[in-house]
Amino acid sequence: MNDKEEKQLIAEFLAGNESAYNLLARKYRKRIYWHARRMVGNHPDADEIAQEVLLVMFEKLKSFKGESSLSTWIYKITSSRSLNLIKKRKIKDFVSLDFLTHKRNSEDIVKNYEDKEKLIGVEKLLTSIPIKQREVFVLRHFEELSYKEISEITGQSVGALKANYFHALKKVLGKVRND
Amino acid sequence: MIKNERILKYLSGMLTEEELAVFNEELKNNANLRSEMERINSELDSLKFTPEIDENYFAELERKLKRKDYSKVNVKNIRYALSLSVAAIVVFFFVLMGTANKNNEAGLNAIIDQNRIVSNLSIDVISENYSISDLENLGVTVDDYLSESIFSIDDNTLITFINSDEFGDIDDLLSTVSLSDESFNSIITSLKNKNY
Repeated sequence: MNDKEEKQLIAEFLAGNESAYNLLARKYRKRIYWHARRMVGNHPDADEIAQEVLLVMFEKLKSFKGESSLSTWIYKITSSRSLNLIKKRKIKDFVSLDFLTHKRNSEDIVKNYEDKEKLIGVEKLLTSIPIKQREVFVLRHFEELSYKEISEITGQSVGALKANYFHALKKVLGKVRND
Repeated sequence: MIKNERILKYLSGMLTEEELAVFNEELKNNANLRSEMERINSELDSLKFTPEIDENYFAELERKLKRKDYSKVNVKNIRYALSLSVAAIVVFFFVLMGTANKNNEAGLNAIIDQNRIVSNLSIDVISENYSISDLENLGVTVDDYLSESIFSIDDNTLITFINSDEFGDIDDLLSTVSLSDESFNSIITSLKNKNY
């Protein structure tokens, strides 16, 4: 689906055709899920965020002005929801409910054992770096977005993003080599 | 530990144009730098893998979404219903209060007046604005009410008042007070004993 087709679908949705939304959701749902998952580091939280983002998309698409691309807009919502959830979880985990933490780690959509182990390793690594560095690292390394796009999503300057990415790289590579 | 931070700066886009030109030139000629660069790229790429997932999850996600949307509507309806109930209870309460007010208007007015006196009362107010008969007209006995009122004044207000020019000497005050009631004198005596 190219930009033109995407704009056409948005217009159709705004005109009342809900199936146009379904096509847009189908295009972005995996990206939303994986971005959230790399940010929060587990399936249940990523699932919660993915549902929220798809709902917000449905409700707020009317207010989407097209100043940025739809994907940037969606990443922005996903990122901010992920950051909010991480903050919320930090407070909850501070009060420490171990059985909930266990629940978060036990549910998954990854079926293959090796993949699961590898993914847990990546998630552990990502969640060990500071949140702002993680955000820019995930958006740049995994989503392959430009600094300009990341700047639109996070609201940070390109210079700050470069510095955060540099520190993230240093930490990530340091941990990869230590493991 | 990464030995060559320039590689990280390069990957982060932090090198200036000049530094970038030098780095690219060095990359062509320095096998060690090239090898370190390849190693880093391979380590980073190893993080980027797509695991095999349960594809039904995404189809289920849409179904969940529809349920969530529906339940959200239900929650909204419940909220409206609750708000309306609370509003109805509040209106009912005020209607009842209004009826009670009408029934007990005289009594309530007396209570309001008494409370007004309690809250505003200070010694000068008593001496200048109230006589015992005024208070008695409100259905309050001087002994019970006036003494209680005086002592309901908080300490800060009393200190401010006693230190003010208006207060002067307690005996002077007594001489200006037209009331000669025994209970009022006893209150002033009590005030004196507080040693402000």
